[in-house]
Amino acid sequence: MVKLNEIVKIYNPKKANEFEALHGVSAEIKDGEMVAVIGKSGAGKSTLLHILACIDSYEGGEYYIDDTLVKKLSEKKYAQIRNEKIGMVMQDFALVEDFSAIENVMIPLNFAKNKVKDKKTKALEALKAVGMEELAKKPCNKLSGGQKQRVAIARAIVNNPSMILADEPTGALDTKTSAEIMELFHELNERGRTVIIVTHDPNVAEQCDRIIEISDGYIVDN
Amino acid sequence: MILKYGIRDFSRNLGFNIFVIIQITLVFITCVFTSSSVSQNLKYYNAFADILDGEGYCASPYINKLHRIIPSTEIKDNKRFSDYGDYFENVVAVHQIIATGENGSENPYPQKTFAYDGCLIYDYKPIMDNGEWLSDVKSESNLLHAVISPNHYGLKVGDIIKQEFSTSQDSICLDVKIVGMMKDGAKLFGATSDNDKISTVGGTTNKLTAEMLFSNYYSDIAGKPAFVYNLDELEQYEISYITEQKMLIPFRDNLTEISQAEEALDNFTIGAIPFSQIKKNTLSEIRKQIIILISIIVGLFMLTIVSIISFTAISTHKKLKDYGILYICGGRWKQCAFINFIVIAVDLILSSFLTCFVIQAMKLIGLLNNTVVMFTLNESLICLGVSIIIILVSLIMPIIIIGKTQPREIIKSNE
Repeated sequence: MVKLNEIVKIYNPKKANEFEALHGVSAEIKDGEMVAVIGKSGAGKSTLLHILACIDSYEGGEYYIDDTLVKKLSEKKYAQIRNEKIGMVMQDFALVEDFSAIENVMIPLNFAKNKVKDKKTKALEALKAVGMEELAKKPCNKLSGGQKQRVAIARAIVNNPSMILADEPTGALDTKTSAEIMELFHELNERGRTVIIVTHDPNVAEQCDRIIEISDGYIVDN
Repeated sequence: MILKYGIRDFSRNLGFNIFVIIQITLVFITCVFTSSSVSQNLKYYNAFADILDGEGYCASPYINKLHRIIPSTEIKDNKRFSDYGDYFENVVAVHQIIATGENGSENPYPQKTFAYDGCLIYDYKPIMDNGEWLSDVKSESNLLHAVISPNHYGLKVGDIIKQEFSTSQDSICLDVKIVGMMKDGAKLFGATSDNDKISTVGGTTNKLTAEMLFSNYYSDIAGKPAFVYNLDELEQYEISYITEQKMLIPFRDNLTEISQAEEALDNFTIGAIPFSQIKKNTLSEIRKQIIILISIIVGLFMLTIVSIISFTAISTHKKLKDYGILYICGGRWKQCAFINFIVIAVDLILSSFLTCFVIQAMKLIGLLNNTVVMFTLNESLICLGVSIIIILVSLIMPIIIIGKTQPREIIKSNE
């Protein structure tokens, strides 16, 4: 379960260009939910996503993942949470272009705290789950956009994280491919994974169980 | 993961890494050459360092006054110098002996003999081709040991030849075992085969250095090979020898009558040069050499450093996106700087191999025949020091760039 309690995010605190991006945001996302976070540009969606993904810190409030308070942890601990509890899918796929599909999927396994046995088998299973096992050895720079996003999803799920965070996952894809990717997210969600998608595409948001709308750093609809 | 990424990154920028490897190899080779050259010069100095630290003179025997007349019944050894007063001790000199064939017949192995004692045996070793130097062999009864230079007689290490030597009484026939073969052109104290430096050793110059006390010995130029003997072994059989060429004549410790000693010295030597002058000249020469060679190293080193800094700055900027990917997958941000360390470590390892390979190849094709290039602890430590500086410098730009960037700035915002 993900719980946000009065989260405040201030950029450049105590400086002339100080800016408060989130003003006490609270939300709760239960295990197995599929949630869309929507809002206009500058609303605070990405800031919220970065906090949820343990990429950025926050100044006020509390953030829990599976009852673990994520605040003022060591860099090592943050890295461990990103590795074990969160799978990220980005609009630009965020793949190491000259790595093969399987090598990209194996990245989280290589950073795991406990040594993972049969990394290749696990990576192949994840690729199979997104229909990419046949292209496992192909370098990512030779894959299409849709294929790259599947690889990114395979990488997001390979470590069996409790939630998948997707930042505009269909933003760089055509309609048909977008539909296929959303279908994949549904499948993952049906298998019990929590999926949080940040989007400004209403069609994508409509396919989720719940929509959280954010505006000017406040949650205006939940 | 970081290791794998680092190795992948190395092959991704193979062209530039080859360029860096060549530059580092050049720096390593220059370091090895410099260190070897300085070590070699120091070797000539170190052979007499203790002696040159004290009072004394380097001089050549004044033949008439020494009554150096063969036949061999007369022994002219360094002990005789004490006859000229209680001023001198442990004189370092090169001696000649007369070796003939069996029963006084013509020697089938005409040779230029060098009989060395003391520090010339134990503190200096010429460049050897094979076998052992005299300090490394144990004495055997009825057997003399000799180290020789390349020859046309077919003599090689392990051969035992019969030689007849003049003694104070008569002559003695002994077996001579060849225990080592010097390289052609090896530097020997008192050698005169190249004839270019000997004139300066006569004492007419005040620029004499420790290195000038040695000359290259080329068997072909000298017309016969060199046979180097241990004077201690010769003395066991009372073999006659005569002193020639230059000598290092130290004054006794705590000698107060310096002027009388100098007067005595003047009775049997010519061209005396004080040790203090030789020491000063030698150290000044070594200093000059170090300054020149260090300038070359620093120049090459700076070029390498500039290349590495520029390259790591560009490549770190290029790789920031990949670092962001590693970060969201559970990597640590600062860990990413380590990737550059791996790349440069691979460069350094390959440069070390290439350096050894190039030096060996140069040795094999004979480019280093008259040069002493060593790869001892000194050279290894210098290369290690250079490597550490290169590693530290190569990490500067990645650490600055990564330190100034937040992962969230890399992970694209689509707001």
